[in-house]
Order: sequence, then structure tokens, then C-alpha cells
Amino acid sequence: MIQLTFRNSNYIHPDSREKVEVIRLEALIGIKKKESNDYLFLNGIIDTGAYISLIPKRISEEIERTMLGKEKMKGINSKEVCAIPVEFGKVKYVLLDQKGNVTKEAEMQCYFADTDEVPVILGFAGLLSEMTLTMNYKANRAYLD
Amino acid sequence: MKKAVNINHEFLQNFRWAQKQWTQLTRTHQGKWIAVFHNQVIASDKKISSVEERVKSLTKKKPFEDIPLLYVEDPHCIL
Repeated sequence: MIQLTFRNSNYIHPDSREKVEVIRLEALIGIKKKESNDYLFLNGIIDTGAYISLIPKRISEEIERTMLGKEKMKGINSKEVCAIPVEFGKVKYVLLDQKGNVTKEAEMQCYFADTDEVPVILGFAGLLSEMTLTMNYKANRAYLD
Repeated sequence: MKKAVNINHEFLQNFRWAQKQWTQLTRTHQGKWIAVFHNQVIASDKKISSVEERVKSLTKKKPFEDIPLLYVEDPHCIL
């Protein structure tokens, strides 16, 4: 079982001055490095709305990856102008937590962004699709099994 | 579960500190990658490579292995 973390922050909505709570569910991921048995450790946002994971450009240059082609990725705004170019491929990864639990190494399909200005997003393909996600924000408890 | 992958204790300490400070960090470093060492932000930039270089010159430690590099996303981005 891998424990996940809720990360909280907030901002003030400019018109209403209402405080908006921003809650993210995060996991620690180790992505296997190029020509090494070591991993790069990153925090990734667990995103059940993402069918595939996303990795920033610089990270993708340091890791062992299989490249399978190019594509354009769109977010909530599906306009072509909002699409960002990505490369499609596979990486090897482990998930970890602060208690020292580590999953077996696995492989997942992912998109490699053409920019560093994106968070690591952890989606379904080869990751959430392979595990059971349990979360209870009020009890501050979330894990992948 | 296997336990062959070890994560640096110092990495986790700095990681936890950043999580506790996240609201403040979103105000000061939004849209940037930050490096956290000894409970402070020692480098920040939009480019990961710039943060890595700063970390190496300041600490001689390995980014992403000894020192966490974290992306402070825009809270308005709902993903």
C-alpha cells in the first residue's frame, strides 16, 4: 500500500474575495534514469481525469524512455490553439511513500511535454489502471494498493 | 511490495517542509520549479535545468535524488 498526500493551498478569488481552497492529491514517483538503476524522484498530481500521465521536458531527457511518436495534447479547452505538442512513449517507474513503501517497478505509457512549465500528472494508463485508489479527504487518508 | 528503492531522508524532510508551505509558495513562485534545501527555497526558475545548475553549484548534491525539485503550478489551473 502506497500512502498518498493531500496538498492544500488557497487563493483569493479576485472579484468576490472568497477564499478558494486548492486541494491536490499527490504521489511520490521514481522514474528510472537513463543508463542507470537509479530513479529520479518527483511529486506527481493524481488525476483521475487524465487517461495518461504527463512528464515535463527536462525530466524526459534524463530518464530511460521508449519513444513511440508525436501528438498534440489538449486540456479542458479543446481549441487547437490551446493544444501543446507532446511525444508519446513509455517509462519505467516505482511509486513510493514517506513510510518507505515502494511498489514493484512497472511500465506506463505517457506523454512527454515540450515544456518544463507543467506539473507531473499521474493518470490512468499503466498506473491508476493497475491499482486501487482509495481516498477520504475528511479523514486525511488516501492510498494506492 | 519490495523495499529496494531508498529515498534520501533529507529529501523527504525538505519535501514535507514544502508541502506545509505550499500556500505561501504558490504566491511567491507560481509557475516555477523550486529546489528546497534545509527548509528553504534555494533556487527557482521556469526552466528545470536552471534550477538544477543552481542546486549543484550551491550544494554539490543531486537534484531529484538528494534535493526535491517541485513545480508550483498556477492554482487557477484545474488540470
